[in-house]
Amino acid sequence: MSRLKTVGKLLFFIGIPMIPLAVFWFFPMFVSIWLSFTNWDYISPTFDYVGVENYTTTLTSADFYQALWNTALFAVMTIIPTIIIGLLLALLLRKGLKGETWFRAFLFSPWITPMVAMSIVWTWIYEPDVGLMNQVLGWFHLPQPDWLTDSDTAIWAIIIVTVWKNAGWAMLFYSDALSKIPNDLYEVSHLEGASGLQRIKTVVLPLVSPTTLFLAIVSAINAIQAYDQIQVMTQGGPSGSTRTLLYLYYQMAFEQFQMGQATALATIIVVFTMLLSLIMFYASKRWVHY
Amino acid sequence: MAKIRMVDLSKQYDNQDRKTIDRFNLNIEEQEFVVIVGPSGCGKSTMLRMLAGLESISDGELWMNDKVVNDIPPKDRDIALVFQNYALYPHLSVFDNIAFGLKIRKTPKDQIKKQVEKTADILGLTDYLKHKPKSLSGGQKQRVALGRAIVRNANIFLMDEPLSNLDAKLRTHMREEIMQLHRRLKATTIYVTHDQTEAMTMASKIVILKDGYIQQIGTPKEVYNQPKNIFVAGFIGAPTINFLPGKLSNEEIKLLDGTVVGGVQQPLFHEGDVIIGVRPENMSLTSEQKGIPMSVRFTEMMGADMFVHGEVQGEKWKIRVNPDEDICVGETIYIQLDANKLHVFDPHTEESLYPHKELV
Ligand SMILES: Nc1ncnc2c1ncn2[C@@H]1O[C@H](COP(=O)(O)OP(=O)(O)OP(=O)(O)O)[C@@H](O)[C@H]1O
Ligand SMILES: [Mg+2]
Repeated sequence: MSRLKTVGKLLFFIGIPMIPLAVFWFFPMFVSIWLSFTNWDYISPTFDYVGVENYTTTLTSADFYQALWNTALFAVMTIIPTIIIGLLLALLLRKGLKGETWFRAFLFSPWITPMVAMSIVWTWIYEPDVGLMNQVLGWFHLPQPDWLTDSDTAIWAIIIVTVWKNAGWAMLFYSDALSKIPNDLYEVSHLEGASGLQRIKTVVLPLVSPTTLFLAIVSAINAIQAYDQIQVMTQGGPSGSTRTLLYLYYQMAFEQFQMGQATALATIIVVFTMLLSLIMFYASKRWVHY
Repeated sequence: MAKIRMVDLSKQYDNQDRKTIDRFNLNIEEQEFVVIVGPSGCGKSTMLRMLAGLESISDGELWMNDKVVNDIPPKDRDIALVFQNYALYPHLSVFDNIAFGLKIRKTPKDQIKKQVEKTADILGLTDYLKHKPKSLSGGQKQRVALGRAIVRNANIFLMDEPLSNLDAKLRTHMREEIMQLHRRLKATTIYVTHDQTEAMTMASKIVILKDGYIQQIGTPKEVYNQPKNIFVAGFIGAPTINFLPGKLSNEEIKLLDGTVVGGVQQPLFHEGDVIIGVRPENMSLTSEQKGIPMSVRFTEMMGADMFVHGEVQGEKWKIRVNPDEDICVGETIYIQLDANKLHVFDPHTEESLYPHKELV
């Protein structure tokens, strides 16, 4: 009887919060996996089962590999600078400069500004002839690329915007992590005569490693899910040079109406994300110290 | 080995309106074990941090071995500092924590290994070298912190309340270990604490500090037997000394009602009001006719001794008695002061009326 009661209670307390999760997450996920085995075109009421054909088509298409490469490049090149710049900013601000709070707020503001609005502004900045970016580069007599319309530079333009947006956010996490390092630990290394770099290497990096892992995983997921900035600034172009996996999915689903193939790609993205998180998690066992 | 001399050492923090340390003068001989003791906030840590070089010196000179080191960075001062809360690196093993300073100094690997193992052996940490600090007990952590200090063979040890995070029993034990370590390594040691017991049991020289001023410097015996002022008398000794207003005339110490309780140990040529100080162990029970009445508030049985707390002429007093005495709460007992063990203080300056030789 009491056992039954416990089970009932468990079902109640776990079951109710599970309802939204089931409705808005599990159910769509299963539907989309199911769709990935069909050739539904998003509009017609009928469709056929096509087996794993969607997967084989996707995995053999050149577009997929281009998007995979773009995603990898975009992820690596946003995660690493975000983390490095975030940490450096946090280290700089730790010294307690005057007006530090304002500076912090200023650096953090890109994070709370909607990506779409920011991307529009950056589109102007990247304008080749009158945009701010090339003006500044011009002052230093540096090359002034066509940024968004050149397939060599477009992805870098998007990477810059993304890092710019994320660095302040990373800084905030690092500031918090740094403030939790007891002062004694710095003092010990000071007493032993550690140089600034040695101190960062032996004290700061190991002690903020949990934050680094967290930022790396979240940034990786953000990178895989990047959409707004691409949509506003390049729509995946020029010639697919900024088309990431997610953007490819969007184009397949809502421009080409190949729902089957698109959901197959979506499934692949989810699997990738999971794999990536797992790898990071296990890799972290060696260098993250709690 | 190292000598230290502090000449008018002062510290003024920018955001404080008074000096945290004011004209601190102290000579420390080679191999001495000096304890700086004082209540919380009196500037003990500040003092130690100035010696270590973690805090700048606002004024005065700090000499180490015939050299002024005011502007010498910590790493070149040949000191090792032990922190109150150990300051161990949580991500490093015991071995790496102890080896930290050697590694920063780029000591060859095999030498690091040799030195760390020797240190671990001295401190009984050999079995724990691979452990992380979080799996150690408080006493073990403190030993690792000591290990980090001794592994470099520094000539000066600075310790900032190293035992205050430990429980009473472990504290007594570690106290003994630190003393042994000192006898073995013979490094000049400056030890900061707010615990007078630690000061009394460990020091070869005690410095009593209050509000940034040195109150008295002396051996444990000296500060106990000849406290320079009321503060020192009250700070050193447990349970604390008892005070009572009195009078001095014809070199006789009297209570306010005129009862003569003792004589002075040397001519003082002082007449008038004084504060009498008498330690709980310098009194005894006596008969009603001869004694000063004390109403008992409570008793404290310590085993070897018993302390009786009560009131004498409105002042809270403690007296040590034989534990076999049968004393009840609420009862009035009669006490006699040991006539030769009385302290007399000027009620205005709070200084002892006995002249003191100035130790520095
Ligand atoms: N960095 C600092 N800036 C300003 N004032 C400080 C600073 N460090 C200490 N003080 C002040 O100096 C005084 C002495 O502090 P200190 O830490 O030396 O005391 P302490 O004797 O070690 O006390 P405790 O027994 O509590 O450790 C205190 O009033 C404190 O507020
Ligand atoms: Mg202190």
